[in-house]
Parts: sequence; structure tokens; C-alpha cells
Amino acid sequence: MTTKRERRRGRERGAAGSAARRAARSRRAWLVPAIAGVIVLGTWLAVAVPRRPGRAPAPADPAASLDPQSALVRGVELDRAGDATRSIPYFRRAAETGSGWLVHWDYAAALNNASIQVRTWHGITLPASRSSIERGELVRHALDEVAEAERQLPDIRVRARMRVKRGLTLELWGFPIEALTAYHDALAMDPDCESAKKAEAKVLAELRGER
Amino acid sequence: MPRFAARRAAPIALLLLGTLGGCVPAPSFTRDAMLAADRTPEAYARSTAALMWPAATRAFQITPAGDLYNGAWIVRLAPHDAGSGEVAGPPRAIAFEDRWRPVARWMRRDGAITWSFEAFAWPADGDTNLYVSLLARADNETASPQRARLEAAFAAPDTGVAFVAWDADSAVAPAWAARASSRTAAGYAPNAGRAEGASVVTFDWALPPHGGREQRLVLSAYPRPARALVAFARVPHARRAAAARAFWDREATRGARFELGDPDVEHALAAARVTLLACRERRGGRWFPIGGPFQYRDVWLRDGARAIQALALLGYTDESRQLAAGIASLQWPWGAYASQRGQPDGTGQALWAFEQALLRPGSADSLGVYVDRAAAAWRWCEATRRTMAAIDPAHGPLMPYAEPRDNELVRAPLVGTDAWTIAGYRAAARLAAAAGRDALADSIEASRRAYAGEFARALRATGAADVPAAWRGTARDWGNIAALYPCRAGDGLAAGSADSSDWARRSAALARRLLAGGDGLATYGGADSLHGYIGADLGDWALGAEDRVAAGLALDALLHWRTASGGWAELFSRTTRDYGRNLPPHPSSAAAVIALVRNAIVDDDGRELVLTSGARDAWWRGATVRRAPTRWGTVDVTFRRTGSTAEWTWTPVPVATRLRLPAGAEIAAAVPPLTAVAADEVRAPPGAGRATVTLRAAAPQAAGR
Repeated sequence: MTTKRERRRGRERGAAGSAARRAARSRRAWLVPAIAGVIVLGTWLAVAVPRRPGRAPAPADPAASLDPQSALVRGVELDRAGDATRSIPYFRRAAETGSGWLVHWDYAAALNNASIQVRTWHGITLPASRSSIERGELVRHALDEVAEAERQLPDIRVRARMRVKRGLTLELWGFPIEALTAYHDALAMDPDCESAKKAEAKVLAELRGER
Repeated sequence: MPRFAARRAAPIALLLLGTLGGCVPAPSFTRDAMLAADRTPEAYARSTAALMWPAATRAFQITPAGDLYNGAWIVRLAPHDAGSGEVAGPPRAIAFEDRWRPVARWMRRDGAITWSFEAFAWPADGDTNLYVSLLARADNETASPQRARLEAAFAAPDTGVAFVAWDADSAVAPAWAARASSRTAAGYAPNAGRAEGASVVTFDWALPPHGGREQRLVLSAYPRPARALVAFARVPHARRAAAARAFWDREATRGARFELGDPDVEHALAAARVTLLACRERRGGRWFPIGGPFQYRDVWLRDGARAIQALALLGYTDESRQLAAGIASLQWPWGAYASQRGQPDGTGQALWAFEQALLRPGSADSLGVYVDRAAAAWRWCEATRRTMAAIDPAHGPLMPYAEPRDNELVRAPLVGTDAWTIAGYRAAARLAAAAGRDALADSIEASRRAYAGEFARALRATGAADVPAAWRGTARDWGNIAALYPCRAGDGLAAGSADSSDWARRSAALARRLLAGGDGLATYGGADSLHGYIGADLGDWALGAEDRVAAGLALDALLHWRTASGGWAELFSRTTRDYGRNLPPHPSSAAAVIALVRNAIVDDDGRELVLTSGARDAWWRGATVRRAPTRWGTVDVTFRRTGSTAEWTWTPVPVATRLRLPAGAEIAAAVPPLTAVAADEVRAPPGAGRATVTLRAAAPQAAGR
């Protein structure tokens, strides 16, 4: 867009400025459609084109300022109160900064519990987690934490019982063959493990269609 | 679009609004448009519509009462005659424009006053929220003055709601805003008295004879600062509506175009596109197909795979591949895919979805990661089958039991698990071959053929008359129907073999049993229950079985059983026309309609391209399909019948093309290089792109096929 001052300056240059004026006219010739184009494009961008959704900022970690022991205590409290989902940040904090197999085991239990947690709202029961994507992630993470707990645990008989728990989780998710392998592993660790014997017999019977 | 661009665009938009201040768009709705909406066919007993948007994490249902509900709160709209106090009755139909374009209209009447409503969804910038722009209008139908009152109230869900949002929070009290502020609001009511912070707003109007008044409301699916709602409302409703129409018109015409001369089918396809595009959510950078906007707002591979296929068939290649990438992330460390507990059919579904999305057409350089994932899944399935054969030799090398907590209603070894796994093998072999990994492709294909034979033998061992739902015990039909289509589980059997004949006989028997009601759709459970997408699946199977009558009946039924907003229910009662709490629109039904129409014209699932296997009579007046992605490239197809001549033109492909004649016709003369395949079918050689066949009336017994 040209201003009054620019137009006056053009007149003052006289004939010598004719080429410059032609150039100015030439510039003006494309300037108007360009501005109009920018306006139309701007409007189209602002009005007609829906925005791609952005990512919401991550919520603050409520356990970030806690020491491992306090985080563990708070996580256990929440999990026992039936709110495994809310307990997870506390167990995560404890597992990341603390030590010992028990914290990983507790964390795994909370993750697993969160994957099956439900709530009832206005008479309708629904999962506490957003979708199966999140539930699958919770369970896979739980299995990783079980594995970590096993790695840190010196008592092989307790490890065998952990392996049974792993198998039960796998069964629940529809992986009976993987569960069977877990029960076999548990029996290899502890041939007297009653829970492994029982779980193995049960899943074999189900696979054979006997129950 | 990058977010900074949107921010910079806003002042420019305001500048234009100032410039064009005097340019008022035409009214968003006219009386004729409202009456047309009110007359839109509604198949179900209760009319509803979904206001949804891609990537938004909540949607609004327009309820049969004419309220709006997002799973967290109800927006009760009580339009009434202020004189009598009578609230207007519920709408007869809640319709989308042309029964597909998601600008909803509905009418309510209370004697002297006619109430008209128009509403549509619009995305919220940089958010997974959505806004609804709602315009309510009261018209005095009499020659005397009337007083009208519109009350809009936020209310908690009652016991009658069919769903709740997973993130609904009792602590949130939705409220109206009347001005821009930082206070959170769930609605904005411009020019409303005493609205600020209230849960109810009321508008009292004195209507002159034959006069009218209207009021705009803005709703938000999540509470947001009032200034955001006010900013949204700065663009007038009519202009927003025009932008929404323009957006969906563009979306619906992207990809493959079906110009069939059959508006009902074309609108049905458009409605299906809207449902599938809107039923997608994001997790970080990944997209996932969701099971529906309301009660099924979750991820099932069972449904997601179908959505991926349908989007691929329609040429939404990017969207289809984005969704395939999303579900690819659901692989378990040992190779299996499962989205929900106890659903081992997910592995086959995931692999099948990869193939559907990635091989139309294929691109070898992008396949590697999917081939690796598919190979891991195949190895897991093979190891599982070997273990099963060792544990239970009588059962053989089939997949283990499932407990889907879904349609089948049992814990049992399911036929559908194996059918989907076989389909997954075929997909994996095709993916590996397309990626140039021939040895892997050959290994998978060999195992598929062996598996198909074991599947056929196991079927005979059941002693069932058709294809049962479970290998042992009783289960409700579901995966066994998918075995016919989309799995085509018998494809691996040698043509002409006893197994192949047995499979064909069993498939036909299953279709007969489920279609015995004569409705075109499958009965499901009880004889009074009809099922949308498995009916369409049987229609697809019928196309392959050269029974175009059954396929046509399925499509007729699907065209009938739609809401006025173009959505399909999954399951409903024939006699009461009710879908209970299983609310439409159901994406799998939308996907099945797309597959059925597309396969009726262009089917690329086999070794040859098949055209017009189920083309309806109306389409033969002259139809064109443009930009249809196939496994051999993107093709255009045109076909027409003129008197005793049928003509096809299509983009040549490197495989043979089979061309099915119009119903009731058979070949009188076909000029080489066309060869007759059957009385009503010819084959064109690879590279051909044009065919003409002279027709004559078919013998009566053949004409019905």
C-alpha cells in the first residue's frame, strides 16, 4: 500500500523519476492483489482450515519432590485404597530412585492393578484408563518390572512365585502358551512350587478343552 | 499446520472480518432446508446424530430428546410456548445434510411455535477439545403474537444415558459464560441475561405474527476459559457452518470418487467416510482408530483393522497408513498383537490391516518395518500352533482358546481366531513379497497353505453343518462369519479339491442360516436381532460366490438401516427398530458398507482384478470410479450398458481383469482377446483397458444370480 508521502515524493522527482514511477506502479500492481491474497489466505487459515490438535502439557509429577521411601509409602496407601492409577507416579518415583526388588514388585503390582481398574459413574462401569492402548502399556510395563524384581531377588523360591504371577497375567491377556512357559520356568526354579503346579495343570486342561 | 501459523493468521482474519463487515452470509438454514431435514428417512426408532471431529477425544450426541450429551454432562434444551408452558416435543428426525454432511438439523414443535435447530462440530485450536456451534430458532406459525421461551441447562447424566466419558469428572460443574474471561465455561450464550456462571440460561421472546427469533449457543466438549469460547463465537454461526461444509466436502471428495448416478449410495459412502475419518484419536504422534464416538471410544483391532481397510479402499492412503502405524505399535514382545484382553485374533487382524494399507499400491522402501513385525508375528503364531499340536494332538496345530469378552460370549478355541490368523499369513506373505524378501514370503505362504488344510480338516472334524463359531462347544457366530469375509479362509485350499468344495458348501450353509430372515442382513443371536457389518460381510462373500442377489439385498438393507444422519448401528431389533445402548454410528458398519460397494465394482483381493461383480442396475446407466487404489496401482473405471452392449474402460493393470455382466444378461458375443469365464463373465488379458460385450437375456435360472 502506498502512502500520501510516497506519492508526493514521486511527483517531486519529475520526468527523471518516470521510470521509478513505472516501477512503483508495477509494484503497486502486484501489491494490491498480494495484500488481498494474504488477507484471503489468512482468513482461510484462521476460519476454514481446522487446526491440528496440539499436545496438552504433561501433568506435573506429584511424586517428584518425595524421597523414595515417602513415595513408596504413599503409593502403597493409594493402591490399597483401590486407586492403583493414582499410585503409579509414586511407585515410579520409588523404583527410579530407590533400591531393592520389593519396590519393583510393588510397582509391577500397581501397574497391573491399574490396567484392570474400573470406576462407576452414573451407573455405568468403565475402565479407569483411557483405552486398551494404555492398558496394554501398563501390563507390558508391569511385566518389565516383574522381570527387574526377579533379577534383584536372591531367593529362587520367591522368584518362582513371581514367575507364576507373570504367567497368570499373561493368561489374563490371552497368552496361555506364554503363561505355560512361565509356569514351567517357575517349576524349574522350584519344583515344589505349589502355585506353579496348580497353574500349569489348570492352563493345560484349558488348552486341551478339559475344563 | 504449525501452530505459529494459526496464531499469526488470527489478526489477519480479524482484519478481513472488519473489511467484510457488511457482507452478511446467507442464513444458515431456511425453512425449506429444515423441512427437508425433518423429512429425511430415519430407520431406527430413536433418531440421533454424532457431532465429532478427527482427533477430538469427546463427541456430542444429539439425543432422541433433542438434547446434547458428551458423556460428562447433558445440555438440556427446553423450547416451549411461554403462554401454555408446554415443552416442544422431541424431533422426528435429527438429520445431516443430504444424510451425510455433518451439519445437523432438527425441528421441534409445540403447537403455535416451530423450533428449528442447527448444530455442527468444529475443532478447538491446539487441543483435543471440540466446539459445537448451535443455532436455535423459534417461528410463530400463527397470525397472533406468541411468547416463546428457550431454556438451555447443563445437567448431570441421568440413569438413561448409554455411555459416559472415561475422563468425566464429578467435580466439574459445567456453566455458561456471557462474556470473555479466564473463568472456565462449558458454554457461551451471547446476549443472555444472568448467564455468567449459571447452569441454566433462558431466553424469552415476544414473537410477532409469523415472526421469528434466533439465538446462538456455543458448547465446548471440555470446560475451557470463557475467552476461548467467545473467540470461537466471533465468527458467526452461518460462516462457521459454511466452513464446516467446505471442510467436509473436501474430505468426502478426497481419494476415490464414486460417480454412480445413485445418490443414495454416494451419500452412504460419504457418511461412511465421515464416520471413519472422525473416529480417530491420537497418542503423541500416533493415530489410532477408535470403536466409535460414544460407548466404544476405545481401540479394538477387530474394528480398527476394518477401518484401516476401508480408508485404504477409498484412497485415504495417508490416513490408512497412519492408523496402520498406530496399531503396529501394539505388538507384544513375543510378536503377537492384542489390543484387548483375550482376543488373539488381533494378530491376524493387524497383519491383514498392514497389507490393506500398505499394498494399495505397494512401496517397497516403506515396507521393511512392517515385514519385520509381520515376520515376528508369523513366527509366534507358528510356534504357538506347534505347541498346541503337542499339547492336544486331537485338536491339531490350531490357535489356543480365546476369551474375548465380546461378541462370542464364551471362553473357547474359536474358528475366527484361526481364520484371522490365516488371513494374517496371506497378508504377511504378500508384504514380504512386495518388499522383495522372497524366501520369507515363500516360507510364510507354504505355512499358510498347510494351515488352510489343517483348518479344513478341523472343520470336518467338528461335525457341524456349516462353519461353526467354536472348535469345541457353542459360541455365538462372529469370527466364523469373518472367516468367509474378510478372511477368505478357504483361499489357501487347492481349487477343485475336496477341501475347497467342502469349504464352499459350508460357507453357503452358514450364509443361508444367517440370512434366513430374508432381511438382507444377518440375524445375530435371536432371530429378531439384525447385525450391520456381518450382514455386509456376507454380502462381500456372496460377491465372491457369484450370488449377486444376496449381495444386492445386503446393500439394500444397509441403505435402509441408516439414521437420518447417515450412521449405521451395529446391532438392532428388527421389530422395535431399536439399537438399545449400542449407539450409532458404528465405524465397522461404515467400513463394511465401503468394502461392499467398492468390491461390487472393483475387487483387487485375488490374483486378478475383478470389475462390476455386483454393479446394481442403476449404475449400469453409466458409472465412473476415479482414483481407486488397487494392489496394481490406482485405477479409473467406467462402465455402461447401452441396449444390448456392455462397455468397460479401465486403467490397464499387469494382471488379467474379469468383467461381470449386468444382472440378467449373458454373453452373446465377446471379441478376442476377451475370453468367456462363465455365461455372464469375461476375462481380459493383462494390459487391457477396454472391453465391449454384446449381451442377450440370460436363461431364467441364471438371471437370478
